[in-house]
Amino acid sequence: MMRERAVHFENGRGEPLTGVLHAPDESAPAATHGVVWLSAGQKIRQGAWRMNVEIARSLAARGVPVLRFDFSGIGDSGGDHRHGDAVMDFYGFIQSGGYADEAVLGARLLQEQTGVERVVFGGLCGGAITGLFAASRLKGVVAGHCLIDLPVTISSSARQRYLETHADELLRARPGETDTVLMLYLKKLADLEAWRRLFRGESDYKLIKEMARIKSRTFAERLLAQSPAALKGPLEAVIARVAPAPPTAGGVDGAPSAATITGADVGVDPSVAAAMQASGEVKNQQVAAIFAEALAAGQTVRFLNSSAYHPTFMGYFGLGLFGEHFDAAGWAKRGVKLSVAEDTNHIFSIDSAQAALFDAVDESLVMAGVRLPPRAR
Amino acid sequence: MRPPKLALGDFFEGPAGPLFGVADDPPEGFEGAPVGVVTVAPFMEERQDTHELYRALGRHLAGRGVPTFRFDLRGTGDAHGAWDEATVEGWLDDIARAVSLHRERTGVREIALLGLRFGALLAAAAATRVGAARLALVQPVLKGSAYLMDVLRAHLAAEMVLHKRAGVTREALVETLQSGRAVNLFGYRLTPAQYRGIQPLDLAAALDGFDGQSLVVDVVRTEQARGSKELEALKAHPSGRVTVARAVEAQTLYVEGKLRNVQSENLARLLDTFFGVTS
Repeated sequence: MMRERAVHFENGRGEPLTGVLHAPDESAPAATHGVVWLSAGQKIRQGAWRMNVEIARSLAARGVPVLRFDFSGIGDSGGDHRHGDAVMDFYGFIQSGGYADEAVLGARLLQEQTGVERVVFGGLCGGAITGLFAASRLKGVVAGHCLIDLPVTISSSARQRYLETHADELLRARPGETDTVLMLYLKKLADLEAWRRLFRGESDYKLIKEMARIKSRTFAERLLAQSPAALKGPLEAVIARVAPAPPTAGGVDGAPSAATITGADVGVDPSVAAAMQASGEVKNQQVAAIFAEALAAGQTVRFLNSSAYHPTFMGYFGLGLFGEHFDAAGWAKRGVKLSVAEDTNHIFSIDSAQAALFDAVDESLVMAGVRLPPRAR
Repeated sequence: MRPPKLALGDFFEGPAGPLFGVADDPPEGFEGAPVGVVTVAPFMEERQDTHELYRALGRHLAGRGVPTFRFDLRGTGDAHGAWDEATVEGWLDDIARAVSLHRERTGVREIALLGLRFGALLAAAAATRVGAARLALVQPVLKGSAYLMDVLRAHLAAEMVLHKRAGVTREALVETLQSGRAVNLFGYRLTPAQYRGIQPLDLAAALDGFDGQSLVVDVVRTEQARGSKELEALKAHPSGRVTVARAVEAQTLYVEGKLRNVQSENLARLLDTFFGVTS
């Protein structure tokens, strides 16, 4: 039987933090590695669909102790919230390593209470980046990372205020929601007034422009294919202006593009990344630095991206780091692996995404040197 | 076994395995609280999204001398078990256990159950068997069957957005459940047993058999907002023991369980009056 117990510790300001430690069965061999699984953004310690609980139980059942806890200002932990009215300020706080201290304390607590020497950090989104920041202060301790949808931009209240009055751009900030708008848009295809507004260059034009940027040519072409025949010509002209087809000359015929990392068709091209950059999203310059630090310290990194988030990841981080052609074998030698879960939202809730998530967690531990039996199916 | 440190948040022994609970105790000086409150959490992601509201209400009520206990039903939160192993029957057992624990721990004469949305429907279903004296039902789900249809509809809308095509129909999902297979709703596998357990739940029917007082609260965003006609209709409940009130809260009560900014003062005031405490 696994043993789960409540843990209470304090952050640097003396605020009480609450968590759960999942310890393996007492008869299991002493663990060398443990996992600190960190909460995402505003989520309480169980995560969406209780994913954190499921991950922790799955690992503890196979001999790996796991700690998960609420950061200060969240869930059952003490302390005030870390922002005013704008949740994006709070995201910005996390994306700048605001909770790294608490993750470091969590890792130490896990070591003290379970006797593990090495720690693997993992988490979705804000949890992922918090672990990377914390690892730079625990170099001899951290063996690896499991980074699910690692955020690579910095959010702020200024950006939020702007987005609140620019709904079209909000779509870019939350690429996963683009499809909602596309659905609404396609429903309006029969509405002639909508098309007139589009060609007069009013709001709908902006919408198409933003969607086209986000989703690149692949997206625009899908839209074209579903348009009434008579409108294809003019719409194509609009799209050509806002999302020019990437130059085809100079490419290597048949070589995998950045869009085909581990085989997933995610439709990213460098021109899209450039367009996103030009349109005001702020790149988090610290990500590349803390990632490089992790590699230099010999820590392994298992990235898993949802297809909803992958374009942003590549646009702000992946293309610059991995180049247009992700050399999977080359990066594997450096202890880095990246895959994309297809047709997946940011919370990995569908069956195939849940499976991809659990697989990535397991693989991150194996990469970090843990002898992990396969999980029961 | 050490006693659980419920004031900090801890596991306690439930009927079928460990459950997790947090007790909000009144400060020193409050003696012999007449009523203690046990909260019942809502369904699936709403449990996460209302964590902060439940926490805020627990602290508020404790500050008025009402010891309040919130806990995770099996298969939810930090409680034992997988979500898809949990059943309505098991959840009702868990509520009964939490109530008896809260009685023992605080010595209160009366227990009130406080629930929001599906948690309100579960609380009403449990009220008589746990011997509750009062029920506070915030934006309650009225019928399990209609609620399941809403949940399935929301799921299909999300699927359509994700896959850019209409997948299956609600009827097909219902057929899947009736043929004994689970349906993944936002990451939670709704099981045929849960479906069968939730479908017959009916708030008005549960209140028929309940001999305590009930408060139904409709939460609206502005004074001018039209409230729910269905909740309003509960005023005419044949028991004559149901009060329906409106709480105007400018912000949503669903805040993803996170930040300390949930605004629930007007709701809290209604609860104070209902529980007979003053500020």
